[in-house]
Amino acid sequence: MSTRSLLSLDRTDGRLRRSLIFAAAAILVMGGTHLLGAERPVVRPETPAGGLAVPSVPSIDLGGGDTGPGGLVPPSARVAFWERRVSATGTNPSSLDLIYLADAYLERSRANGDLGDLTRAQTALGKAAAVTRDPAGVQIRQALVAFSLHEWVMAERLSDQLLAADPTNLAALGLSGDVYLETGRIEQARARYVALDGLVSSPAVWSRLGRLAFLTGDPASAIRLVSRAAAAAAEEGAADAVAFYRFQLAELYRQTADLDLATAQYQLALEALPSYLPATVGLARTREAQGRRAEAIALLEPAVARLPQPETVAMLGDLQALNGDADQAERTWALVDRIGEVARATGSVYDRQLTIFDADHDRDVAGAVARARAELTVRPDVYGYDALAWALFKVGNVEEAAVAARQALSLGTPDPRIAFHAGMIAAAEGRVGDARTLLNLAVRGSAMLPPLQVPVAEAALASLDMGITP
Amino acid sequence: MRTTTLRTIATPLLILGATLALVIGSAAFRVGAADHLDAPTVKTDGRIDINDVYVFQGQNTNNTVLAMTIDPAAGILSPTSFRAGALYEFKVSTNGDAVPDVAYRIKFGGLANGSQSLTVLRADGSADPANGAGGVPIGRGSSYQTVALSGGGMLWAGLRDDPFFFDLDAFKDFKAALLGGSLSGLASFCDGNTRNFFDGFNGVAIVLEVPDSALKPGTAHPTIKVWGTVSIVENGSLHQVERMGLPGINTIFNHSDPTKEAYNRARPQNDVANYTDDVAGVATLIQQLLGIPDPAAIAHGAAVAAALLPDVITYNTSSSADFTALNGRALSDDVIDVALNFTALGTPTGPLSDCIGNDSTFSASFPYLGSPNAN
Repeated sequence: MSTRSLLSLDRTDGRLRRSLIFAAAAILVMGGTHLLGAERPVVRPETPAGGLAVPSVPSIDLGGGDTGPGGLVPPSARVAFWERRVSATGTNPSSLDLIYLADAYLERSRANGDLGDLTRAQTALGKAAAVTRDPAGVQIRQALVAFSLHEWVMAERLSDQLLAADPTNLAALGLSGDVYLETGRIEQARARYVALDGLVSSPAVWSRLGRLAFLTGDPASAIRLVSRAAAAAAEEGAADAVAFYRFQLAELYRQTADLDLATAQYQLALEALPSYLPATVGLARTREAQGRRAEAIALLEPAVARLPQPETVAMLGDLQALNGDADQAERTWALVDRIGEVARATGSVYDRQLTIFDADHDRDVAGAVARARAELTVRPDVYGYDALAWALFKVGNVEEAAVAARQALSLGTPDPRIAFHAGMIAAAEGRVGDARTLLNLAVRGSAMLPPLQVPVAEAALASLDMGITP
Repeated sequence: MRTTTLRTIATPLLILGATLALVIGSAAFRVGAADHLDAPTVKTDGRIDINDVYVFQGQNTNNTVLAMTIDPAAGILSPTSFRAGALYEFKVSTNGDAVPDVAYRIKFGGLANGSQSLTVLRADGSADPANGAGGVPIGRGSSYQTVALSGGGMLWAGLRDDPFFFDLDAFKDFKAALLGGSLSGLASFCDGNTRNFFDGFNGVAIVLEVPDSALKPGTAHPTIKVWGTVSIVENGSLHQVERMGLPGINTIFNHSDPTKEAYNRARPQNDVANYTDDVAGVATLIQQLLGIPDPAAIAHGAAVAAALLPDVITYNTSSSADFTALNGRALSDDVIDVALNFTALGTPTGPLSDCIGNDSTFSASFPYLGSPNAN
């Protein structure tokens, strides 16, 4: 289905609705599989608004794209394999079959963005919990599903229980650290990752430490660590792991405005796994920043048709607007509104993307503030404060926006999007020096900004340079 | 025959020892399986995870077969191929000291249209493989083809049925009851809900058949000790990340991820020094849970450790393999039934069973393992 045909569907079309339901909640950016302990891959959380992709928890390398002769059976066939086994056991299901069935659902959700597979995994795990003699094996997977659904409290509770039983449980250590990181508890996350690093040498650990380094203002270390992870993954040769770590490295290069290196890494990711959508979208963003808009749109359209994530759809709309096609852009943005409506009915995993979208496009800015405030109560990380700051700025509450922006900058995270929002707020406050510094960072890293915001940042900086407060 | 007797008694405790592992472990597969998914590094890639090692007499009774199955639930959990760049080895000690005197080293190339090129090398002596593997090339070919070896013998590698069989769910019930101080869980075996968890699973296999005399030049039918290893390149150099001799040692006696990882990276020659306490501790605990008082339980634990370590398969190449005597391991050997009977009754055969028998159809001729299951 092309983007245009997708967008032209009647608003009540059931297929579209199902597609959006699946796409919404999903976090599901097809994260790589990452490798540590006993546990299987999990769906990666939503790329934080303004953040790097988060590595999924430790897992067996299952692949996702390494199918064909000598490879894995496709995800749906894997699901069918375990479903047959569960079915064959009738009223006396094997807990092990149920656990592996849940894993297969998780893998498939990673591949196709189907939220329904997450709920199916939950169901299978619930049945397994009822019959298992090994509750820990069920609990770690339940924790992974909770994490994927942004159910932070549940994910934390389960991983804590596992670690209380076995402090060296690698999967639980990784997951616990991830929960801490996603909810803004940096030092606790660091402690978990350091413990993990002391127990095992793995790309999954270096990837996590790399993300931590970036968040805390050390992009050089982040690049070094993730490069190491990418090299090790390439040595191991599992396609989806290679794709994920190359993608993570590409994102770091895009963050640091090294677009040639970013392009090369996105291409290596796609070479390893051509269906890897995050790399396709990242490459599209890079192409736009390089002035190659037609290529960017050509990359984005099929990506949006396959998995209409708010951030990606919004970008496509931005590019259409920049191309002068305002009507098409409005139709595209309307799709983001629809995704938001469905997401609000089914879960909150896209809240952050939708908040930024509404603020960027001056749509439901009051709703954006409310959502940002609500999310901060459960996920007070720098990107949560950044989203709130930007939404508050858009409703004219500059004073409170500045407080939130300071929180967003508190770790020194060198993300041009945070710098853009904070710079605009600083300018509105009349803090010209701060504003100029921040907007310079934003413009230098404009490949990270939503396309329509790039001219906004440039204009604001130009005004400051001319001595005019925007 | 003191050694054989002790080993025979100890073997079932390998299985019962899983009770403790279950208390501590978390992954579904961490118990019951022979060596499947036993430690962190191998869990990252099934292609480097040994399922089982078998040692038995060839169709030509002057030959010995060394077989290694790898990759639990191949095709479902990991690709049905070997890892390019990894080094798969059969290590053979011919003088009883568990230090390798001969190593057969197999390396695979990249996957192309479902098959991989392979090289077989033979290294004599105890040196670890160099980064380039080391040893003298004795055969080249590709997976799914019989590769003739210079000096005699042949090798085959590719996807086959996983011969391992076990009612893992029933065992978990048995374990739970045992932890509660009861043997009532034995009723879960053969209870009408009997099921081989490994039914329908495939693995990739390396099957090597060589003349007995090639294993120890100058000796027609030597007694050998065998184990399998897998090494991969880490931080620029080759490191052993997996090993297996007897079934279940790492999955049962070692309980934490770091310990299991260290075990896989260790050498059998150091097992007695490094792992006696671990093995004896578990065996003693299980004996105590079975109601056997000290000091008998403690003495038993010590005997178990002495019998099981170093972790290698001992095989008299002039005989047929028979796991009940811990003399090699044939494809159809029922290690679980042997374990149950030894544990409860002290005899290698008897009335106890998990009611799961071999479900594979083997070939009488090379490469012996059953055809892969359709997934």
